[in-house]
Amino acid sequence: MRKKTRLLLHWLNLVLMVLAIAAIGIAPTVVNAGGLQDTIKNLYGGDGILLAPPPPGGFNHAPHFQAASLQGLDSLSGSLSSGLGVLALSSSVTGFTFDIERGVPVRTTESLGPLLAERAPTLGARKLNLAFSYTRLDFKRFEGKRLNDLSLTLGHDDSNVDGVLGPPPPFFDFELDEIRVDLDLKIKQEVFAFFATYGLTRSWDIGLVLPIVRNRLRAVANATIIDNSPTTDVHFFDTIPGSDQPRSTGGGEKTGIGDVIVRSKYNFLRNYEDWPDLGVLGQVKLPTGDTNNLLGTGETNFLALLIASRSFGPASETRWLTPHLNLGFEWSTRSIENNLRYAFGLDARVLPELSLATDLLGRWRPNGDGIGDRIVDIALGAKWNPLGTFLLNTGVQLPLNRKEGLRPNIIWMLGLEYTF
Amino acid sequence: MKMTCRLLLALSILFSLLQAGSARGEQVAVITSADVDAYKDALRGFKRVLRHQIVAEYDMEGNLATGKQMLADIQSKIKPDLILAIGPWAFQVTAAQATNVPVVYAMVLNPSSLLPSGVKNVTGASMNVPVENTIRLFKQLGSQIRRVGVLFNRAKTGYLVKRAIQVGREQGLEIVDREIRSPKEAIQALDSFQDEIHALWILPDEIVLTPEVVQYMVLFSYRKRIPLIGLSERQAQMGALLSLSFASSEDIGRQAAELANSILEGQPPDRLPFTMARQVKLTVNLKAAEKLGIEIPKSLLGTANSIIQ
Repeated sequence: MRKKTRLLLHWLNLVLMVLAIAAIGIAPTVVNAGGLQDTIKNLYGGDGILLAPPPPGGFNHAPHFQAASLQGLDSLSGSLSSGLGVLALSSSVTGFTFDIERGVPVRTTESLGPLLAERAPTLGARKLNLAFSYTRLDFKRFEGKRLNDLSLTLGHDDSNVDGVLGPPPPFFDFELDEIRVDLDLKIKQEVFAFFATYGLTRSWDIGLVLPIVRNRLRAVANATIIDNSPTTDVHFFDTIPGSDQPRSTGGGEKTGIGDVIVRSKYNFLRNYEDWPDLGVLGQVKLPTGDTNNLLGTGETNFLALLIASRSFGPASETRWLTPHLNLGFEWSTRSIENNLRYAFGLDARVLPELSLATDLLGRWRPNGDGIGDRIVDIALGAKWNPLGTFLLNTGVQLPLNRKEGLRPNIIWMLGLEYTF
Repeated sequence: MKMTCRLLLALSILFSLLQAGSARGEQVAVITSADVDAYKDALRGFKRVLRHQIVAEYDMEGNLATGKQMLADIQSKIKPDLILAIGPWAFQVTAAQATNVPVVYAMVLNPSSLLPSGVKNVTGASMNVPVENTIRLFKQLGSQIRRVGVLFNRAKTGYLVKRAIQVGREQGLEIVDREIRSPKEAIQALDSFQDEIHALWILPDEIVLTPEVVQYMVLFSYRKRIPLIGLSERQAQMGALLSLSFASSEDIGRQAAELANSILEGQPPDRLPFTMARQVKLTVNLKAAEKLGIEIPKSLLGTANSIIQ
């Protein structure tokens, strides 16, 4: 069996190395100046749309069109890096309990644990759990609008500095002209996360999550002049050097370390007759990810979570169904990011080697900026235990309220873990 | 003469050194029944006391076939001087295999019921609580307890009952036994006690330990208002007045290491009887005491490791 374990470890090591190399080494790092975060701002040269210069002798309005607001698209960083789905700390997967009366180990059929929520039991003293997860997000909507069908309206600047756009005619009604920019955004994110959890005592675990994030962002903008001025017709695109073209593209790809997470779970109540198992989890998310390239939030976050779970079944060794509830608050160094977190669901061991899990995961930012303040997702997944303490996890996360924030239609997850 | 003395002294020192060297040089292979905390604790205790070297550790993950394969591996490749078998499955696998390598087991309940006849090179540290401790507990409850009822299966716990009868007789306590061959017979056997007994004792016997039988024993204890002594804190929580169980897996591992040291340093295993738990845990259920109208002596309460109030 030691041979098997060694083989498994070699295999695991190989997979992790290949994935790490794939994540870090091979991925091209092509990014616009200013980073992925400024992709939209940097369209059309980053200084607004510059049209063809005025004819000689004409009124020099060298028109700059600017977006009064990027309608929240400038807050992609927070939207992209503050997802809900971090794999749960692995809880006990020993597979045996000890029947003190009969003096024999009893194979348990307790579920293999939830996917993204936590349950109260811990890993166990001196146990080490190593895990890897791959998450793929293909963002499709921003505040309910399709990312491939966004439009921004850019207004003319106030050329005569009279405080109003347009009158008095006939000279300044060109200020009424607008430019509509049709945006097609493609935002994809892949997260390769490495987890290590160690049981300090029977009831106390510590863990570290190292995410390697790959972001791909591509923006294609097509501008159309909307001629609102009744008398003048001065705005047009041209091929003269120095003026912008109606079509502009930007974006790139960046891979790097995301926000590293340090966490610890303490299980303070377990196996009491009338009570659920209870635990607390403390988590610190460090701003190690590059915010310019949307790899991290740039904030330090502190999460405190209360965890309740209880396993049910016909006998102590066949407690196959485990409902769980998580409730907590996350503080951020940027107060609008403070948020209430909750998750509830259940995991069930439907076969000795297979557990199914479902969770409702939510986040509410009471002081948020109105973009993605209430996020609710449902997660469905399975855990397969083919050998010893080796687990394969897979699942999907589906946004339930797609009109909030930057959302994919579906999030794919795949993971593997081994407990020593 | 002087020369001869010096030669003898040198030889004696050399011999002692060789002996010390061999005492540290014997090799032990470990095979564990499953990945269970209690077994890990036992192995830790074993390592602390063993004066020899552990060269290989195997976990059979609860699978007897795997265990047999591992044992073959141990015998053909490792060729140790002693095998430590932790838990009943590892014990079964190693004891069933005819081999000249001595086997020491740890964390096994009722080992004599599992040991094939004729096997001589096996001994170990059982999880059983010494019968003497339980008999002493009954005596501490008061002089009104003179007859204690037990249900048992001869193949499993016959040896325990035999010992209990002997110790009880010495202590002025009569063991009233009823043999059962299946859990179905338990209820009838219990009912047959009527008012014949003053206390009831749950033995570590698979047939007795089915949930229905234990529940009926608790019920019988309340109905007849007689104390029940169980085997675990869980049974005390279920309603037994007292429970007595082994307290430390690590200490059982240490006991096994003491036996292993003796064997590796020259003692034949068949001259070393298996040991029972040295450290025991007493749980007192005061709620049950109140219901039964029994006053627990302060001396007994003082020795309790856990009290249910």
